[in-house]
Amino acid sequence: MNTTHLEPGDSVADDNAKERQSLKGMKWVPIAILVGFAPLMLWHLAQLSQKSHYQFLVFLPICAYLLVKSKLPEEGNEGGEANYSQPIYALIILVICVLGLGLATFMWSPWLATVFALIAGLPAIWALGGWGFLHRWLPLWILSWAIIPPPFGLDEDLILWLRRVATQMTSAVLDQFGILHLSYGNVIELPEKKLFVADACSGIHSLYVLMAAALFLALWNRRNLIHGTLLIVTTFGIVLLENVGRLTAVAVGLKNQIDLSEGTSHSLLGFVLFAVSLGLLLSGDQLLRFALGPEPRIPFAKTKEDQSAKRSQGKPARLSSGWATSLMCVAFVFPILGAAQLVTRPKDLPPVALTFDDSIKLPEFDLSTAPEAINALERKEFKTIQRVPGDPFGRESQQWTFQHDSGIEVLVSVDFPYYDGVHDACLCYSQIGWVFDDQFIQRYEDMSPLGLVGPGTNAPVGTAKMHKELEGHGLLYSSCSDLNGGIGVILKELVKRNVSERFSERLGRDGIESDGSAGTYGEPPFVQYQLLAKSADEFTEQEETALLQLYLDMREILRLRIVESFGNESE
Amino acid sequence: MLNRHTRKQWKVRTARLATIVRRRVGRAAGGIFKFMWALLSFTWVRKSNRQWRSLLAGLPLLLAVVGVFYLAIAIGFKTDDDLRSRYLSAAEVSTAKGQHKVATLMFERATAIRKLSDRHLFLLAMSAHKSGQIAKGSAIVQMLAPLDYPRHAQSHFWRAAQLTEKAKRTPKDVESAEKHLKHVLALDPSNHNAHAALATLYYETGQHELAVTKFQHAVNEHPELLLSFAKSLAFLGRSNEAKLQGERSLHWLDKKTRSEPQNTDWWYRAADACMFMTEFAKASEILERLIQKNPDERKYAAALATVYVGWEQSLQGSSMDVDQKRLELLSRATEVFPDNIGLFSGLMKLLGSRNDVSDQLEAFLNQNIADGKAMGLSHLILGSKGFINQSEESSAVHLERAMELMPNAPIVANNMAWHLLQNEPIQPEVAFDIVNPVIERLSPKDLAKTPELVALWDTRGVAWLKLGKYREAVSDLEYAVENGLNGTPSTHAGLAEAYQQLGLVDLAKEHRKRSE
Repeated sequence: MNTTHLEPGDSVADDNAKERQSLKGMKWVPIAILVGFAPLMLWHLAQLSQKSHYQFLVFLPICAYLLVKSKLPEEGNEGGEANYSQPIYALIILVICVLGLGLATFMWSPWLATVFALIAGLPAIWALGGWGFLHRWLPLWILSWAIIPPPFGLDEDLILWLRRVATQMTSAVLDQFGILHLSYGNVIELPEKKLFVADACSGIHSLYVLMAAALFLALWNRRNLIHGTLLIVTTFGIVLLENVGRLTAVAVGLKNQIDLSEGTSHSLLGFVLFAVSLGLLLSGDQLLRFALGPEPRIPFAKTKEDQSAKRSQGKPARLSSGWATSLMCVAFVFPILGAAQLVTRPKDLPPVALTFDDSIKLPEFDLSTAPEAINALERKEFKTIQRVPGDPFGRESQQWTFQHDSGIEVLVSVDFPYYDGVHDACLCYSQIGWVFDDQFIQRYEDMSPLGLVGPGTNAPVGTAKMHKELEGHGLLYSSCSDLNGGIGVILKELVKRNVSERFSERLGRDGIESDGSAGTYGEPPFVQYQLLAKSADEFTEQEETALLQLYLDMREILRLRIVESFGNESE
Repeated sequence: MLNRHTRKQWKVRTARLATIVRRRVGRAAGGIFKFMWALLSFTWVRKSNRQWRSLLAGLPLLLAVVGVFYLAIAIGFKTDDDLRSRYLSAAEVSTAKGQHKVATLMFERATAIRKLSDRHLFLLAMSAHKSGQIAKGSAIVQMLAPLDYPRHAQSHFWRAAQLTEKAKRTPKDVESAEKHLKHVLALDPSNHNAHAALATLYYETGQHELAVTKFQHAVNEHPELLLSFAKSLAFLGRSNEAKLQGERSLHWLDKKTRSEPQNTDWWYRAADACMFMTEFAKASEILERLIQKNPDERKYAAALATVYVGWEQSLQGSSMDVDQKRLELLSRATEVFPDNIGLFSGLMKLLGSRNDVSDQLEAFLNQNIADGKAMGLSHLILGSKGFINQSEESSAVHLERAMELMPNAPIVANNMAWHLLQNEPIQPEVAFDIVNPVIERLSPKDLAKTPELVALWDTRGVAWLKLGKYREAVSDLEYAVENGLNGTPSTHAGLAEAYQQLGLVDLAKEHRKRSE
């Protein structure tokens, strides 16, 4: 391999001068990399800030600062000379990252760019101070990976899994405590109240925050790999415990006429349990320290003696001007790609740090908002429901019920708000045990031949046919609108089935028309309009058409009122 | 055989092996002892620089883990059966308290633990239904009561009841209800409720022979069905038996009205029984009392009109006194409920008698129109009088008014159409447009209930004839002949003309003979 190890005793003055010059130039490598990734990374961070379970990342810079300032190892600066051996690795990584950034720029994928940015971080740190410097900054580099959501929507799958597990475990505990209830999907139904296990309650927020806290704790305390891994596994258990505890507390409270399921008491309970979890995390760290000893031996790891022996073998390698020039040449491709991103970027930056804003409320509807009767469907009742922020069915719902002579029960609901993008109502129903027979999106060209009328037919409708044992057949129509009235539909099951579409979604390319998504819409928060019809028999085509007409009429009435109340108008 | 040297070698080896084993076992035992001692004396803690304060700080998590394990073991020891029976008991208690929503919840949880029996599933369905979860209740009952085979008697019976109680019952509903009731009887042959329901179903659909066999199984347990039983027997021409059952019914209802005098339903049924037993005076007296108490209840007025019409039809002879009595009864019927279908033919017959009574009737009808009472019927009768008196002008005006006042009455449509077909200028298209939608609206049940409605087919047949559609005319006119108009001269005349046009001369001749 053509490396540039400079032997000790080399005293050519020109060479030394060149090396010093090239080392000075190496400081531009990280700057070039940063400039190259900046636009796409900015987009990624803005998109990430929309996901409520990633909003804890605002604390990441503070943690990073603390780590850098106080806890990063001093090794690497020993002797004051940087070790630049094996520059070929740095070059290879840089070339891969250039290609990666090129692909991300071409596809406009903030997620992909951020992944390559973190990988490019390795040669960037290396360029500043060689391998020793990289070793020193490694903990911070590991911590930075917290900004990358798992690929292929695994974070959402994890959310669903956690909801289900938390519900099942809570159900078993409630049975043990003698609290009679019904549990299905992510719902604990008590005679007094139906408790939907929302994101917040299922522990996805706590999980991400506590995982990051565990990682920080391990890095801060300089725990080794075994300790760190066990601490993260323990954190997972603590999160489950916290959430089962939260649901059990709410159920026990309801049994004793204390409602901890909403409002201030619910938030307070959340804070207390989070504090307890954090305490248990610290306790877990100490317990592991006691069980594993202060410095547990890592299998196959090199001992300190091995490392010092290796260090004593020779002086650190220096970087030749040829390598430095090559690296800088590659590095300066990054700013060019950065400039290309500025040209190809979308018009607007995604909205940053959307939070649950209590001041945004839907207009107050009433029974008379819905038509008295339409296609033999007779209007029955109207009610409003308030839930906790982040609930999968929305923080607030306004619902109308209709009844058909044939026994079909119909619920039309407007649910608000959804901050994590256009909401797929099917997810909620699959979590409460409905099995889907068919899912598809109906567009104008599908609705027009059915004889459906009205302006509502211009926007798509998510349609799902489903069934559930002991419930019969269900028909679900759903879609979302932004506050300007732009309507969109996403059916995640269809998106998942289509690998390329799923990949596109992960790469951050939203809003494309496909089998699983349709419509034109803007920024969150979104309003969801849904119609659920239940019947003992399968729905006939006439019934489906009549229900779709009701849905379209209701959606149009509600959408116009919402747009009017927010003073916006869809283009 | 081993030689001595080999034996010696073997012994040495065995002894050496035994020594090795002894030493190793000893070492292992020593090791285990040392380990146990180290564990118990916490040497491992001291030697590896472990700190007790770490253990102390780790205690909260340790306690949490112990708690979780305790809970997990406690949960593991509970059997599904215990849990399920707890939920079932809670469900039954809630059902008894009328807390159907809670009961539904408990039953659902019990079935989630382990599948429920059909009995409990049925209770779950009923709870769901009573708590307003109609679709869920129906879905469960559908599962328990499939149409193809018998499964759970109560569920089949419930489904049959749902089908028969439908406001708009279709022939398919009737067929399904019959199947469900038969499934009930297959599962429980002595179920008198199923016999009663099946008998009622057969009675209501005019299957009197089948109804009679089912009534025989049911009337002892369900004496309220005695009257229907009697009516079925009468329909089959078994007059003596019908009279006997009618008397039994009257006797039983007499007892009921005495024991529960405030229950208007028993009085209403008693009036019906009296009418069946031709005790018209008593029936009208009961109904007049009911109308006095409940003036807004139209069914009593309708029943009273039926009693008067039935009474009028029971009168024999054609003397002036009898006609006077007829007029009196029909006038009363017109006053209380002019929409009675039998009233029209009675009044028309009386009008055709052409005596003082018919003049009095005409005056009565004109007076009604002037007073704004029973205007639709009065116009209809006066308009239709034109068919008897050939008074064309008067007919058209009255019938048009009748059409305006009673647009949904089949008899008005029929008479209007007939008028258009019989008077110049003949307007067969308009007549067809009037009568055709009425026929399409009618069901076989309506025709079975009111056989007079067959006149509509006769009228449409004549309209076809005038339109030159002879094949269609034959179809309608033969249907009319088949269903009650056999021997009516105008119908046979129409058939004669149609067959003549179709080239079937012999058949045309035959019908012409009958029309003369």
